[in-house]
Amino acid sequence: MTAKQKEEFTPNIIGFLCNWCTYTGADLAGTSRLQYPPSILPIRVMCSSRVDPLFLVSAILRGADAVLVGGCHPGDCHYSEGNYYTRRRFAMMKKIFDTFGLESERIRLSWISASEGPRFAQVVTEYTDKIKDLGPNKIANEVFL
Amino acid sequence: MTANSNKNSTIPSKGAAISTADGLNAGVLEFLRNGLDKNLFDAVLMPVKVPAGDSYAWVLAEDQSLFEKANVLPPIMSVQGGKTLSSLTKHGQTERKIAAVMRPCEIRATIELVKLKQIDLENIFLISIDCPGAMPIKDYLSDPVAGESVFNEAAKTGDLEPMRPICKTCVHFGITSPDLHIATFGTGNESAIIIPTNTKGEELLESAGMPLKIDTGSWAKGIEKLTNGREKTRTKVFDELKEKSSGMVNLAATLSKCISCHNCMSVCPICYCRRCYFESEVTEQSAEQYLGRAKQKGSVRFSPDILLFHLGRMSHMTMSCVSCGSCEDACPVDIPVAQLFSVVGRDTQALFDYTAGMNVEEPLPLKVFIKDKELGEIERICSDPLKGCDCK
Amino acid sequence: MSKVMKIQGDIDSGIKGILRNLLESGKVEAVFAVGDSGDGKSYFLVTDPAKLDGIRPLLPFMPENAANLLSRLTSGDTISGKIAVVIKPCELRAFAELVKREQAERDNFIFISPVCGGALNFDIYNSGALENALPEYWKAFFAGENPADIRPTCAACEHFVPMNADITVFPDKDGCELFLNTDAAVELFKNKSSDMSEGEFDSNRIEKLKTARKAEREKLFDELKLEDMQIKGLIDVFGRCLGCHGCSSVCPICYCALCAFDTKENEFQPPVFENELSRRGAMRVPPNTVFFHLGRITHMSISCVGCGMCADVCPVDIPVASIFTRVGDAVQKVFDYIPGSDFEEPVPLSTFIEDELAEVEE
Repeated sequence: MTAKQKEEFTPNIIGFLCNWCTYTGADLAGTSRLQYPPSILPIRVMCSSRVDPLFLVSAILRGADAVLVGGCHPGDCHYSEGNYYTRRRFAMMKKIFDTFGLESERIRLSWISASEGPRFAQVVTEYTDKIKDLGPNKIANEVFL
Repeated sequence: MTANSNKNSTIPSKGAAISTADGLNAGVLEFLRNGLDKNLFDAVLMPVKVPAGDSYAWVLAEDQSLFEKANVLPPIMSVQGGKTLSSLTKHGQTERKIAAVMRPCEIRATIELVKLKQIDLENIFLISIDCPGAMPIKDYLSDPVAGESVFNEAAKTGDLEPMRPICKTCVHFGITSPDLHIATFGTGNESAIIIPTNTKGEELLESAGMPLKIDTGSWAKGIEKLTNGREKTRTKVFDELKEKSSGMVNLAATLSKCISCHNCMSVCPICYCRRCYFESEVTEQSAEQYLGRAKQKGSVRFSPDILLFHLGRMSHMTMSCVSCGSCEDACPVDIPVAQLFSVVGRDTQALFDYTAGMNVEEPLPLKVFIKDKELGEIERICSDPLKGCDCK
Repeated sequence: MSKVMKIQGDIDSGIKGILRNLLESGKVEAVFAVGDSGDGKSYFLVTDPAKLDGIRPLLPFMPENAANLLSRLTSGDTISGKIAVVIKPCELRAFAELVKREQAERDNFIFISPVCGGALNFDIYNSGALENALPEYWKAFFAGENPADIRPTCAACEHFVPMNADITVFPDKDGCELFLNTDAAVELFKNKSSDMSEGEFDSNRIEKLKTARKAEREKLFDELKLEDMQIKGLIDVFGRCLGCHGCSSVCPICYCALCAFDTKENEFQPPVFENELSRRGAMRVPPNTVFFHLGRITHMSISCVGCGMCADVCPVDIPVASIFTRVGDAVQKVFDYIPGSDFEEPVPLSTFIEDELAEVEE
């Protein structure tokens, strides 16, 4: 990708954000007028453990450039234990992606609490930059999926 | 019941010419390109060689670059065309007009699925081609490159030897019903005839600027002669299989290698149930019941109910069985299931003078009835029920 | 230390003799084992000793994964009488995984499982060559080698000694040794206690085969080159998939009555077809071929026991078993988990440790 292409490329990042922590944190980033790239498509889930690993596979295969799953810090889950399961599932998903050479950097798990507006903006900014480096998801044009 | 014989009653007398000087595939693809360019339809559904080069997959394409790898009559039948159209339209008609090129049995399965409300043909143009048969998938896979040439040779000469057993007994390899049929048998190496079988087809050819100047008579005669020969083979093979599998013991023997994988049901275009009856709670039993069954005869086979599955599936779908053979291709233990089901399909459809897939107007036999007098021979009318029955 | 019983003579008839005794004495109500079924082979639940004639307990062939069958037998309730079950190590492990998922009941089953030389493949079965392949099969096994014509996942299987069975059978040239691992097993044979000795399974006896298996496994995984696959490789290897879902049907771990990939939610509505077609210019239909396989991997690889039934039934000979076993191996290693080796060990994804896997979060 040329520098110009990279500049023009706005990644499509699907964000599964937990209602109690990350989604609220994202709201806070908004009300605080914090700047971050318009790359994230937020989808509110009640808990990060709602995220079926299939969502990650589906999003990547349907052409999303990356998937971000946001949840509460371990120990702070609104439902006590949800995020512990999320963490295990993510470890598995990373391993599956790595096993097939599928760019496991395109899936990311981040703990962002309700009060961490700046962190939310920072994570999205960082991740957008990283995905820009990786380039667009080449699967987007595959016919024989 | 409409009195439909096994052969299609009327074949349209005229068709348009398609040049096949560069081969049948090239000729048909040219027609499709023409249709796309003229916006007669917006996309094409056709078999395309998969990137690995070892099979064919249905591809819905508006992009013409894939035409290079397309083959309208591939050596194998991978996913049944009817199933593919089902996937495309079961939740509603397609948003754009699509021309679909398929084998006659795939069109016939499609017609049955329309009746079963699994396909909406509103924006689909169906196009069939004279079918030389299809190779067993496993034979093709053992050497795809050789498979291509074996198939092409056999297709040219009408040699059925490399084709699947069910293809060798097929009597509906020519024209079916909507909307267009491409006649190739005996039309020579330079051209084929594209025959509209309804108004929709006629209008399409008119918009394509293809006048109906070719007479179909001699082609139709050729098909009839071929069909007569096939009828004889079909009767012989089916009657032999019927004989061999008659009675519970023989039928169980024919099915003795079955491992209940249900592949046959899964690939069958007619078996559309999201959850098969034979995989539902209805056919589940408790541990006590299974143990009880074991005690009855001293032993019970696991998986149990193999005959129940096959006989049950027959009762559910043979009225619409189009003998496409997908089941036999998918069976991992080489049971001649397509032939078995076709024998039953032949006889059950004949009860109602019905041929699956030939006419979309013809209702499914089990969904209609004649109130007054029909099938009286099935009933036993007791003269005096209170006195006890003396019928044999 | 276990109690050990030695049975002389032909392997099959030795075990069959045991099963016959158990039935005749009423120690068990039924026996579950592989047997002759017309031209084929299948499992049987046998209550009458007279029906044991066609039973071939140690036949090296797997018509169906017995875990599926035992789950079907007990999905509603525990079986009321004791049943002696002769199944392969991978089937036992799959059964344990199903018990953990509440899809089967373990009570009243007495598991008899052999040190496994592998199962002969379906080509041998279909061509009618199974019986003739047996002498060479056992010859190789006794020599500590991988027999010919077993499935690739069998040749690469390192978990072929079923120590979690009630009774582990070690077939040998002149008979078999039965290691009675549990109280239930010892109880069954308490009238034969004079025939028993004390002993422990000496793993040196299978060292040669274990080495061969390890080498085969490395070779199989190496040849797959999954890391180089990427999406194009996945498209290539699953390109000829017909979407029959036979692999999932016969898989013991895939127990869902309605598979996620068969639900309405995973079918495309007309606007989705339209959207995909516009974006890509062309699309394969029915859609979701690669999605099904990757998705099934995310759902079941944590418990994949490498039984190989998936590849047996694939109509287009995709090496599903090898691929799934390889991914399963990688995923299971993340949690140090050997599926089915322990009935009590929870499935890793249904449990957690508060302080772990910090490196996963970024």
